[in-house]
Amino acid sequence: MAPGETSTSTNRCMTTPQTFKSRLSHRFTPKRFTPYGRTPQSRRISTAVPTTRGRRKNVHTRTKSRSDSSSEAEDLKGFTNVTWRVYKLSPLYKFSSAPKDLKRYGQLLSSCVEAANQKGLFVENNVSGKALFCVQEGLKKTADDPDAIQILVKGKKGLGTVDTVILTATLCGVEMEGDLLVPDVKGHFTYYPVLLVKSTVAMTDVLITWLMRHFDCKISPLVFPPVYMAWMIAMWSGALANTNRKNKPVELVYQVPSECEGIKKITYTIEAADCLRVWNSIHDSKSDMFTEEEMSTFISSLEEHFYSLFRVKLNAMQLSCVGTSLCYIGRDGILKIYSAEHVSCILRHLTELSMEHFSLV
Amino acid sequence: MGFIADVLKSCFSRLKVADLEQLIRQWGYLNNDELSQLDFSKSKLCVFRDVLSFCEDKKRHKEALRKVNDLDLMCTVKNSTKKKWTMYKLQDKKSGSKENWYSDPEKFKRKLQQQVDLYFDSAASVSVTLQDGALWCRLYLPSGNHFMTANAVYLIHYPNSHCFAISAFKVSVQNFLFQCLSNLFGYHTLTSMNLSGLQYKSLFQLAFNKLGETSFGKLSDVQSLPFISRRKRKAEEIEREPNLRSEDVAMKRHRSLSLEAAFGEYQQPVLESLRFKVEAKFMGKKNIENFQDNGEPFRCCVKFEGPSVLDGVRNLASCGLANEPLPKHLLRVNSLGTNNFVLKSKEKS
Repeated sequence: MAPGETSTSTNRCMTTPQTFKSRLSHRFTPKRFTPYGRTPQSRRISTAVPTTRGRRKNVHTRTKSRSDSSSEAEDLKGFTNVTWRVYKLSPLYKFSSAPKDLKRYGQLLSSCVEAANQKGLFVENNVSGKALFCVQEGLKKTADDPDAIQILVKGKKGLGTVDTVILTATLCGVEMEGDLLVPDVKGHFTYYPVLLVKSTVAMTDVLITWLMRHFDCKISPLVFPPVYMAWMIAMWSGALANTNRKNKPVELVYQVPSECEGIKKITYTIEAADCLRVWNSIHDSKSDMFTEEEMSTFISSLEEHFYSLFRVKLNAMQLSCVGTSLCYIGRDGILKIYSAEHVSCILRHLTELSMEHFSLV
Repeated sequence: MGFIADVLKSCFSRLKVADLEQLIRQWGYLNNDELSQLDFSKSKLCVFRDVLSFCEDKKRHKEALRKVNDLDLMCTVKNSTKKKWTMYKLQDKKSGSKENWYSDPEKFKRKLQQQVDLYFDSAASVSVTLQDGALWCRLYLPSGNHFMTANAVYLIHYPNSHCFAISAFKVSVQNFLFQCLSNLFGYHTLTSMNLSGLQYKSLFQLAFNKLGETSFGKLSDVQSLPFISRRKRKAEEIEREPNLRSEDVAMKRHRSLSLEAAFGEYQQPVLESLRFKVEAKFMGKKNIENFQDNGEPFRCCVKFEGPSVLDGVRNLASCGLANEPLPKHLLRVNSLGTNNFVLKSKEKS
């Protein structure tokens, strides 16, 4: 950050007709210029994002939501037990969630799917798709959050006669803290930090290409580096999804470096209750915030136990996937949520991560 | 003929195009005229249709069925790594029973068919072949009129050994199947060795290391056993390249010697996974001030996965990702003959 420049979101440069200021206008910055955002492995969590100050919110934090009832969990049940691909987006230009606009978007996307089908982009021929855009209930938690939008593409696969859902996607931003769009451009742009997609690769490409062309935005996979996953393990291994049923164990999958031939990965699975016991010894359960120090201590204590058993240094390897009672997350942007009650808090965290990427650019 | 078509389709779907011609010729069911009519440059589907029409033309349904079952077994032998094999050992020899060791596939097949006919439907079929010194068996235990790959069970047995490898089978047939095998081999008990993987030769090598002998007693000449691999491991890069200089020669040499003492100079048997179920005291409390130690063990499960895990464990140490000396439960996998372990803390007496 250039000297003299504050870090408040209102000063984030949106004053030009573009939604973000070119980095070239930042002079005398101590940072090395690259056209890419700084990768999380190289940053210190305590200073990178001033708003969180090296801390993350507890999964049990009282949300700013209007209601937290079981009916909300029922609304969001469709998010559970499905493998999603997670993407981050830049603001969408002239996107509207009005019913007539959503209907028009559906028609446009349907014709795009049909055109792609004619070109033979789909492995299963004759994927005839009808696209529907609708507002997803249960994800708008604050006034700053945009209306979550669900996108469905239904159609018949191959020679089938029954309509099936070929693509399911959700545009959302949950409990967005602060507004990254300056007032001048806010009327023209809608910011959805997170896009979840469940579909084939070809169909996902069609959707993403259409969104990028139609709304002049940039969509890219939201990857989770090992440090992000370490945070998630620390935050969510202490949360039991349902105390009446046996919780899924906490799973850490480490990728072995390629120079060590013979072993590709090491899966370290810990009983949920035992993991919680370790976590409670480190973190004060009355506090809402986790610190980076607690997260590091937690992970290093688990790795130390592993070392005492096998004399293998897990800290020299990288986390590639993590799993808790709440969800399973892979480094390449794979997400599977197990608990309907915690969909909002998981999406809130993804919103936060996506917004961090956007604000670093 | 629908059943024959299903079995043939299953065989063709598993075969690579490059292997198709050789296997069909080796099969021996089609005569030279029919073989010359087959065009192997066409797609597998075309060749499949031609072969099926030849089988139908022969109008000998039972023989055709037996022959396609043999082809299915040959496909499995060719692609043995596509199946997950589980090792079982034979224990408690039945009193009065002779040593039922067969190395003749026809005799073995007749005996096995007799047992299968006792416990299963008459439609159950048996195919046996001898390959690389091992008897390969295919048992098809039907449930319904249509062919299902899940109904086929494959078995590998080296004559004179006290163990066999078996592919996946339905739980519903386990009791009867094991009764057949128990009567066939003349042993009361078939016990799982908790050893499974894709490379059957490595599994037999590990099982032999554990069991240590065959019916003729301990063999001094181990190299004659067909499943023992005696290839030396690939030299490390620093050993191969004379122009490379190491900065820490002494440390690397010391490490290399200790690893050679622990693992030997030969290639390790190939295992795809190594699983440990651990119930031990939590040992990671160095940085935790107030650890809630209520005496309960810390339960976890560790799985090492890769193309050759035993070599990988050795390489972890040589790359510096593991410190020596490695624990015994990693070093002794070769002699313990299993890849599923339970580690528990020793209870204080």
